[in-house]
Amino acid sequence: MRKTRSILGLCIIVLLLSACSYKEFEDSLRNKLDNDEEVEYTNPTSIPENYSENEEEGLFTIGDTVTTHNNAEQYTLHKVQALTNINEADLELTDFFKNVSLIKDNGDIDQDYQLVLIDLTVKNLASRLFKDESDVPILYIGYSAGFKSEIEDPNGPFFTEISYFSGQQKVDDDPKGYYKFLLEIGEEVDVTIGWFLPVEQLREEPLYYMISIQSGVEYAKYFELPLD
Amino acid sequence: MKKTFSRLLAIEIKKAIKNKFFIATLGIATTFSLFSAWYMIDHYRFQTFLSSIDGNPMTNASSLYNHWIGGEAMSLGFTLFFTLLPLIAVLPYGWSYFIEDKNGYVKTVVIRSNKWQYFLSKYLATFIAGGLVILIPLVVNFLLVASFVPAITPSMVYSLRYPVMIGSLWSTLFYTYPLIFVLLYLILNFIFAGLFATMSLAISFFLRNRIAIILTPFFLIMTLHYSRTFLAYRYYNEISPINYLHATCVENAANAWIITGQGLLFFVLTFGITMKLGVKREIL
Repeated sequence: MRKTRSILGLCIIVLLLSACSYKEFEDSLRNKLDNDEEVEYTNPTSIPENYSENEEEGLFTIGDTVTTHNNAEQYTLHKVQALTNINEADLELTDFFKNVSLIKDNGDIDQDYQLVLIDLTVKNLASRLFKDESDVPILYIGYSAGFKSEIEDPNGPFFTEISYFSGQQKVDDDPKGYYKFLLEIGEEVDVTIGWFLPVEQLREEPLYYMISIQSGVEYAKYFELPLD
Repeated sequence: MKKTFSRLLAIEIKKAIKNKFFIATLGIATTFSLFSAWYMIDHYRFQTFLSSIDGNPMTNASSLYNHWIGGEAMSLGFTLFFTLLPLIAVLPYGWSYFIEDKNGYVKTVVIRSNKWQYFLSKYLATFIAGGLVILIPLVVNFLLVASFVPAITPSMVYSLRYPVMIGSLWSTLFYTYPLIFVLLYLILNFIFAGLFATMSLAISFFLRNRIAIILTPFFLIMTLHYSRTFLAYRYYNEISPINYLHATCVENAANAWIITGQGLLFFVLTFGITMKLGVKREIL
């Protein structure tokens, strides 16, 4: 009897100290039982392969004008550039609201990153969902850029948010309203936005600017950002 | 007279603890608590691995006090232990009076002492056996988890990880002297498990079926447990013993007045019925 107890005790201690995970076992059982309710996630995004011919569907690039899924805003892409020093675009440290640690005192950007800037024209066609105190519509600039592998990742889409936005306006006393700006219906504005992105990935993969994701990532429209 | 009672009590406690039902139930309850410990130790290792990868390691978010069975509410072991707690407490000795009455043992004892002494010692032995069968697995779990997970004082910064709400029973102790908090909860569990066990003793005076005697306290507590759904989103204090015997909040905050009230009610009913009906009952 004593021997059996000792063996049982030893087995328990060995099991507890072993690498085999009881948690994984119990969780897998639970997942199996809950399987009926769970729907396996599939990434709804896919980047079009062919360039657009009618400015409605397909892949867009420099010079194209694209209307968002809800027909509320219009984006025109003018220019794409990748910089290694923020002074090249006459920018200062205080112009950035994210990843400031990547910028050195002399304006140089961390050697592993580059600042990708794009020039856009944004037109307010019918966006009036949010308004400030003086009844001017508040718009949110499209802030997402991603590499193909990130956007089409099975668990994605993953993308990077902007660190710089030239048209940023602090409205509604929102200290973090980095992406907000005011624009009357029918008016348009020229803006520049930018991301800090890894140099190595920029060399290897095409980069895309995503708009219209507020309606759902499946409705995203893609600008290819060619970096020469 | 006192000597007779203390001898009778010693015999009853010995019978309550040294019977195969007590050992078997203790084994089952301890198995539940070991499974909970095993799951949570694994969980702690997994979290430690995750936090070592990058960012804030959130050292204060994981501690013994949210990994022992009274502090966690995620493992199968926890679910089985606390859901079946009223049944586990009854199994070791709650049925003993019914059997002793049936086989005539009560008569032989009452001849040598008296009915008051017999029922008092029976009540106390049942209470102790029920309390111990719950207390021991909890202590084993606590000590085992303590061997692997550090006893860091819970921090209110991680309120999602330490669900002891403001105003909840002994909540100030939880965030200052958590070991005392755990000790008090162990005592609370011992008392309530003892009271659950004595419920079956009191029910023995009304029912003549052993299975019914064992199961009725469980069903009564489960009725109380599910009746809390009528109060959902209306009343935010815990009324179910199954929930408030768990040291950290499962659903609502544990209220001292409700716990005391229910405890006193259980005691008055079980002790009152046992002593009043027992002493009145014709045995010889």
